[in-house]
Parts: sequence; structure tokens; C-alpha cells
Amino acid sequence: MLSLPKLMRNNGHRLSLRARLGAGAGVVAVTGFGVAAMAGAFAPAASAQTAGHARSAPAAVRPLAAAMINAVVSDNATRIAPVAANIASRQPGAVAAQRTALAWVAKPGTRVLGESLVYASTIRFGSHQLVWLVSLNPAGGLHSVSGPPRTANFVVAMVSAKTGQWLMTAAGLSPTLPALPAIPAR
Amino acid sequence: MRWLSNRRPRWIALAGICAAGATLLTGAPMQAAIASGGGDGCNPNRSNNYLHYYFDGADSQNVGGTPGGVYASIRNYSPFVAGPNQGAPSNDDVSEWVMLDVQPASDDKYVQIGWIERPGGLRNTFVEWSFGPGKFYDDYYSPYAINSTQSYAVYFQPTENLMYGVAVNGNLVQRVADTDRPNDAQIYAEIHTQASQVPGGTADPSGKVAQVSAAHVWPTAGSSKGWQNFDGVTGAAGASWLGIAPGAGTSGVNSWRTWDKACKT
Repeated sequence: MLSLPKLMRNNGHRLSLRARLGAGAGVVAVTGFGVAAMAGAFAPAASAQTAGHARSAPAAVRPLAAAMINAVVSDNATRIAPVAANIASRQPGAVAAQRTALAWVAKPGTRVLGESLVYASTIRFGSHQLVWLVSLNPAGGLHSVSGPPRTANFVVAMVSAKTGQWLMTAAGLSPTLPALPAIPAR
Repeated sequence: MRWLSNRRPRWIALAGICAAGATLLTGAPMQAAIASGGGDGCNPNRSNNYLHYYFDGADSQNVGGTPGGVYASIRNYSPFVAGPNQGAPSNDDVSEWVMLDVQPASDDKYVQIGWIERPGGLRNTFVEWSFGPGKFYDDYYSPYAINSTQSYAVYFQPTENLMYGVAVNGNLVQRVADTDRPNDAQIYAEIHTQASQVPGGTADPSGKVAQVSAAHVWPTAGSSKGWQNFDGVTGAAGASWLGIAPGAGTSGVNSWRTWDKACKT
């Protein structure tokens, strides 16, 4: 159980932990993401959406690689459980989720690399939320906010499968992932 | 480090941080998705010199060996952010944050939370942590209303597997475990090119609204003494157009204004 609030209980400062993640919060449930999807998560598929050119026809769901999922949950507080691929592929909303993810980047030329329908448990949004994880390769790259300008090699937006609302984007530089292919900023 | 060569050594540790909140201030709800920019900003009309770092804020002088947290109320100012039209990259940003970090800064080890704005008025609440030069992690969430004031905090609890937590207005939004203990606490506005505007408006806004207020630090993790005044020393190094009051070098500061001296109105 998270006991951080213990530190803050004095002085009237209380944290409201919306999601009790338990002692196993660091345990990540990542199963069902095939190794074969590894390449697919990085290599832009022919049907990949690009900012400013979103297509209306639903594309086949291209699940994120396990390595990328592992990068997303490397915060030790997020848990991801996949939805069965045969169900995910029939779930509507993938294209809309791609559009939402691209809108957050707001850079023409940005490509969607893949998407997975998962149950996500996060501190911010609670447990067992059905969401689309949309892997992106932003045009011009995405840098760290502070410190030296390191370029992220994973950028994954989380979009509610229920409401279609953008929830958050996780990004970073993981030593277990290769660099994203460079896309010039337009 | 090269990228920090124009900063005081103490700042170098910086990278950005985060924070958390404890006191509930205005409590404005998070906006849906992306804000459109608030028109606060003024173009300082300085040439682009991207990858020159400028920091305007304060560094706590009230930190023991291992601080247990830092928080402050920070106004969500919407500055002018240089982009391709000014010769800066489209992925540059202006940010303001609270942070626990490990000195020396060359290690690039820190945890921070605050607000960020990218070119085009793209704003977010952000959390960033870095535990070495080859790895960083960012979370971007919906932004708070422009010009609202929120309390951002970073906590550190050594007894919980060296767990860091970050919060806004007392609501924990993320946590991360690492092997490094912080030894410093900072609160700064950060820009990476002089073509961008330092947050905070003009020197004499109506009412002289503080950009940062109620800054506190938990000097020693695990200590029962709890939250104390931040007691920062203000710093605005690197350029004469960085405005801060109380003036740079003032110690014992828990509230301050920042502004860009190129902005007159």
C-alpha cells in the first residue's frame, strides 16, 4: 500500500489517493503483447494515420510491442492489462483514438505507430480503465521538458475507450527501446 | 555540463521538477485536453539562441541532508513561447516547476512537476523525472486554467523504497521509485532560448501578483518537524532581462515575482 501520505499528514496536507494500487503496484501486468509486434510498434505501417490526414476507414489494430508497454509502466505506478486481441480488433473507436492522440501532438507529419486496447490502472485516473494506448512518432521529435534536450523514444497517448477523451500522454527515453525514426518538423 | 555552462553550479542539478501540492488554492479544475493559450504572453523580440538555458526562481537554503518534499503555489502564466517562426524548434517549451534533485546537477537526477507550454499555446500539466542522462520519463496531463494558481509538490519518502511522489493541490498524480536520494530543492521558471518569454508578465502588474508563493520544504525526510519555509535564495542568472523580486541573491524568500524586462505592458 502506498504510504507516501504518511509523510504529508502533518500540517494539514493530505493526499487523496484515488487509486489504491496496493503493494503490488510495481508489478506490471503485461501479457499478450506478442514479440512479433515489436517491429510493428516502431515501423510506421502503410496504413498509419498521420496528423492532418486522418482517415475514416478503420485500420487494423496494430498492438504495441511489449517493450513499449514496459516503458510506459516503468513509472512503477501504472499497470496495464491487455484486452484480448480478437476483441480489441473488433472494438470501435481505434481511429477516433488515433485522431485524439494526434491532436495532442498537434504537429503535421506525426505518425501513429500502433494502438492497443487495454485496461489501465493509474494513480491519476483510477483502476481498470478501458483505454486505447496510441503509440506516436511526433514530427520533429519530443524532447524532455527540462535538463539537456533528450529526445523521447516512446510517446504513448492514453485515450478513454468509453468517452474518447484524451487522458494523458506518457513519453520518455528508455534504454530498452531504439530511437524513433526521425520525422522532420513541417 | 555544456548545456548548463552559463549557470551557477548549484542550478546545474536542475532539470526540472515537480511538485506537489499541499495547500488547496483556487482549486480550478483541470481543463479538457489542450488550452488555446491565454494571450498573456508578449514577444520579447530577441533573437533565437536555442539551447541557452535561463532560470528564474529560487533554490532552497533550508534543506537538510535529504529533503522530504517541496511544494509551492505557482501561477499558470501563459508566456510567449518561441517556435519555428523565431528559429526555435517546434518541440521547445517554457515551463515552471518545483523539484527535488540530486546535486551535482551533472548527474541529471531529479523529479519535478509544474506547467509547460509549447509553441502554439499547447499547455499541459507535466511530471518529469530523470535518473541519469540516458533515461527520462514524462507524463502530460490536462492543463489548469491560465492564470489560475495551483499548488505543486514533490515528495520523497526514503522508507518506501526511496519513493518519490508528485501531486497537485494535494492530489497525488504519480509516483516513482529510485535509488537516488535528493539533496536539493528548487523552484524555477525555465526557458531554452532568449526568444521565449520568461513567465510572469511585467515588472509592475496590477497588484503585483506573485508568480510563486507559499513555498515550503520538508528539510529532512523522516523528520517530524514537517513543512518549513522554503527560505530560498533568488536567482536570475544568465541575462539582464530576467526580472525577479525580491532581487537576485536575496535569501529567506518564500514568495516572489518573475517577469521579462522586455515586456512593458
